[in-house]
Amino acid sequence: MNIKIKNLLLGTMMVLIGTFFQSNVLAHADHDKDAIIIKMADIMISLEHFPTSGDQKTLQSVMDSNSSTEQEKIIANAIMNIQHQATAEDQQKLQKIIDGTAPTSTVSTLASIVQGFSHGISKTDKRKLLTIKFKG
Amino acid sequence: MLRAITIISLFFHISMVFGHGAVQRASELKDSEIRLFVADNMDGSVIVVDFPDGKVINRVSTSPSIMILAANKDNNYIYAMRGRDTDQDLTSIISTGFDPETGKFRKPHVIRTIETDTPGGPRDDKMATVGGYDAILTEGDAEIVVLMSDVIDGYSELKTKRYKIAAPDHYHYLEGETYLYIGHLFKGFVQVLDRASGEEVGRIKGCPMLHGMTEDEESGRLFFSCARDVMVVGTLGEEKAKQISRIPYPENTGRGCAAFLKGEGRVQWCYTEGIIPRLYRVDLSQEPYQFTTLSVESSIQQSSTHDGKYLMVLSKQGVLYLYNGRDGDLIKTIKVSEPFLGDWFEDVGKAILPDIESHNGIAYITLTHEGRIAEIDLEQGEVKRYVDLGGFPTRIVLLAKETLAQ
Repeated sequence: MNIKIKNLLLGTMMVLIGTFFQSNVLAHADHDKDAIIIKMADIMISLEHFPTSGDQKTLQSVMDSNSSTEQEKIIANAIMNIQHQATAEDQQKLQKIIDGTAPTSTVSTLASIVQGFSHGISKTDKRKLLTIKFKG
Repeated sequence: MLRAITIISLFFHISMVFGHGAVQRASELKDSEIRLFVADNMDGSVIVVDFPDGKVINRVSTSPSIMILAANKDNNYIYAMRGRDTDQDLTSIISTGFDPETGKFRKPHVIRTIETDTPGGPRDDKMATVGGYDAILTEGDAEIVVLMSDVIDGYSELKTKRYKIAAPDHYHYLEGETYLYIGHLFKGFVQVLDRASGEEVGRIKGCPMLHGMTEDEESGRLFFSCARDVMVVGTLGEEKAKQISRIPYPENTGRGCAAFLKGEGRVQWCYTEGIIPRLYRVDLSQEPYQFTTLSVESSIQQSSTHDGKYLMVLSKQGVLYLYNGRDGDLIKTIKVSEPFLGDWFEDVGKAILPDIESHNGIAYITLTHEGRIAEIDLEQGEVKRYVDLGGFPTRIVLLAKETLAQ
């Protein structure tokens, strides 16, 4: 019985150690890409004045999804409400995201772009969004 | 009146018939010192840029999702190998455009495209070789495919010789004096093949998660990076195909090496992939070998000059840190771009990271996020200019005219 428990413990330890090294070593492995952020970036790239019905459907799915983070849901809702620009209430919520995340993070970048949206997307913001989409 | 109509109609008739008349042929040959081949992974094309002009010469259309861009040993061809975000693994062989008779350059083009199962093998932007011939290591079906043709063109049969490798895997390969050394990532060993017969000579085991390798030309030794340490393998004399020693990584820093850079003298720098906080240094002239650590600003790409004088580290903030290639002392910092926003994890789908190449004190950096190249004078410590390319430029192969076959 003792031997079985010992073997079980050893086996568990090996799996844990193996998992640790896998994450360190497999730099070429497929990483969990920001699928939801990319989805929203894609909408923003071609957004003119307000989201289309197709965009709204996508954004609603982001808001309804359990895999979306709270920040992602706030951004999705803000895009959904855009009428030439984000609402004052959404702009405040987006500001909280910007203040609470690293300025170089993808979430912060997207939140800033949505917050500053005015009728169409600027060339600089478009490049940032395309880069988010490109690198995944 | 009738005569006039006849003459006019005859005139029109002649002008239509001789519409394809002779034209003056104009040469496309141009002089240049440096030719850059840049993989643009927006559409999978290879952009050709010449310096000192800084002019885009042309875009060569290849398969999308380039993972590897490499020149062959003699700098006659450029190989573009596509990544795994597609279901068709293609390798395009591109001309460099160099005309040895005039010493000038033409516009490069794809010579031929071949299907290879998960192609790999290049190291430091150079193709793998077997007996001086270009070789592709196919990681899907475990073969070394040697292209036995001296000249690759669109007409001739592409003669190949094939070596069977132990197992499908991710390989780190180098050709020794008479043996071929193939490191296997998942299998955790180095397979040694006899180049002449293709027979397996042996397997050097005990290198779990083998990723990255380098060589010390003076001793002929190879250094394979393992999960917990680096395995040193000999290739000459009595050391041939034998493990010589192990170099442990410094304590409490985790895995340190997944790729190597040559520094000044026999110093080597190594680093892991992704965004890194440190590099490791080892002086191969000092035995027993030992690693020391160089802390760096959160870094997205690293490189060293060919003479090893400078170690170049590009930070996520878009600053190029220039270190002494021998001892790692910081020399200067150069702001080259806006920060790289968000996470930059490169998987095997396609290349996304910026790249750094240099020649004679000038460095060229692809700023993937800004769609352009920065040309930097390392001695002056300043950006000379930016060349806009559009798209998402990643890998670079640099050809200097002075290194091309005359």
